[in-house]
Amino acid sequence: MQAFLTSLLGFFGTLASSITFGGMFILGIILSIPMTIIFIGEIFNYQFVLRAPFFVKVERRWNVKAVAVVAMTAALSVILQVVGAVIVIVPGTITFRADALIRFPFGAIFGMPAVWGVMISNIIGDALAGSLGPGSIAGFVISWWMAYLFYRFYKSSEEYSMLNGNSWGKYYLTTILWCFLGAFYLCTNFQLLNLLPTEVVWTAVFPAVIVTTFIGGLLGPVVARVIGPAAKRYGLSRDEMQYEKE
Amino acid sequence: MSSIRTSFYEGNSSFLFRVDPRVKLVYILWIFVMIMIFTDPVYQSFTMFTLLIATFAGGLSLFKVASAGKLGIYVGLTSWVLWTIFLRAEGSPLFHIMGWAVTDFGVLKGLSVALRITSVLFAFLIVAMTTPTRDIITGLYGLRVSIVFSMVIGIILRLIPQFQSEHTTIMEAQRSRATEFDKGSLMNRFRKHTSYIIPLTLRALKIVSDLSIAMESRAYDPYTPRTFVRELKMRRADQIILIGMIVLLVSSIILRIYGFGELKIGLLGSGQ
Repeated sequence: MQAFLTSLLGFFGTLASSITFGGMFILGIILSIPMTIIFIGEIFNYQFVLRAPFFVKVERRWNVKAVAVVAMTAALSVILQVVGAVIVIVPGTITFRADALIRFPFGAIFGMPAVWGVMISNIIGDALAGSLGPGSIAGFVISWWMAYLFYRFYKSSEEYSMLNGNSWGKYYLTTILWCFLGAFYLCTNFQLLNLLPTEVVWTAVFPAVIVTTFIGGLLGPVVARVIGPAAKRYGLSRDEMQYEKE
Repeated sequence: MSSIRTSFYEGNSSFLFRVDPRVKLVYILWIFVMIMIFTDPVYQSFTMFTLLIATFAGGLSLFKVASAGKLGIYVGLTSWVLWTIFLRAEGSPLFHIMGWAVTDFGVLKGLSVALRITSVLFAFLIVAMTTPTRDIITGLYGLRVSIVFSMVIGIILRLIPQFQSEHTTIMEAQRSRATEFDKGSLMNRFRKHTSYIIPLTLRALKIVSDLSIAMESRAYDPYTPRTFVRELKMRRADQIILIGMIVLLVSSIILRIYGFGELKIGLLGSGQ
């Protein structure tokens, strides 16, 4: 498996080189602008929809359960970030990201409070680990997107509890979509901020983000299958929490 | 599992300790903007110098600050080395290592990026070492950051040690049932990890459910104005620091507009 992952890393690196680094950067800019606009829109409770005027106001109200879910998601995510780093898959490149196991499904199960929790966990995780820096800004935006995609693509409790095959399929497709969006966003920002040489950004960081996160989230549906119904029982799932009015 | 440090507070009675937490939080942002304005390490070094002053004003040991930020230093140094390698064809060669030129531009560009990477981290660490978590939350609220966000930070820092101890208990229980987390194929090891992630998450749900009931029973409403044990009050010294930061920021922006502080090839002499 290690050999397969190494070849996968090589494949994405070659893909980036064949598109050219300039081309990858332009693609990254094209993706980053709407991603940032949607992120800012959500801060002000404006949600992107696929019909004119493209942004609609969503009525949201913080309550005790929503606040507690933000804190729980962030605290769990920070802890799993540290735990997961123990398993090195490809030395120096890929470690098992256990936090992805909860970051992906929590967006579907707990909705927007979990999305904000995942974002905050990235800032706190970086600060506590001693790696806070200019790159953390892109880091927290893509972390937000990690849970946000699932929040948007999953609606009913049957779906987020992974009770049917379709939701499993949707899980992996959404994870792959995030892997590309997240990798493009992060690498474009790294290049914009000049944090690493362009060659390193597109041939090392880009493939590593895609492969690491996908591997980390591989067993997410198993977690969701247990946590989804439990969250409903505790009255903490997105439809029980009453944080949002449709 | 290595433990997560949730507080860096050193608890001394230095000058920086007495500075208003809002000013200290603004200082982190100031450092970020200042270090991004200039790309020339000579100009950036002024911003880094303020970090040195802050360290001494906080009565902190340089070694302690550096060791708390060792991961950031490692990332910064890696970036410096990478830039030096990848920019070996630009600028004037300073010396050669195994046939590879080390150029002035590569060294300065790498240094500039390393300073960018580490400066915000050190600003955060200095502030965290001289400000109790409670004051950081009060400061965030004072800066008009949403009370939900300020409150959440406090709850997270309290939950991390609690979840950590739950994690240890679950891991020990699994080990006593002969689960070997570091043995087996890669897929097997991933599967074993879910055997503690699921119980840990279920425990977290229970803890958070109890917490929300406790908060609700005390009529917690995120939208009502809060009161704090320590009322924030700007002193003369705080105002002077704030004004100083504004003046330096405006001057830096003007300098940058007039073309100063930009890293150019040949800065160390005979460039191409």
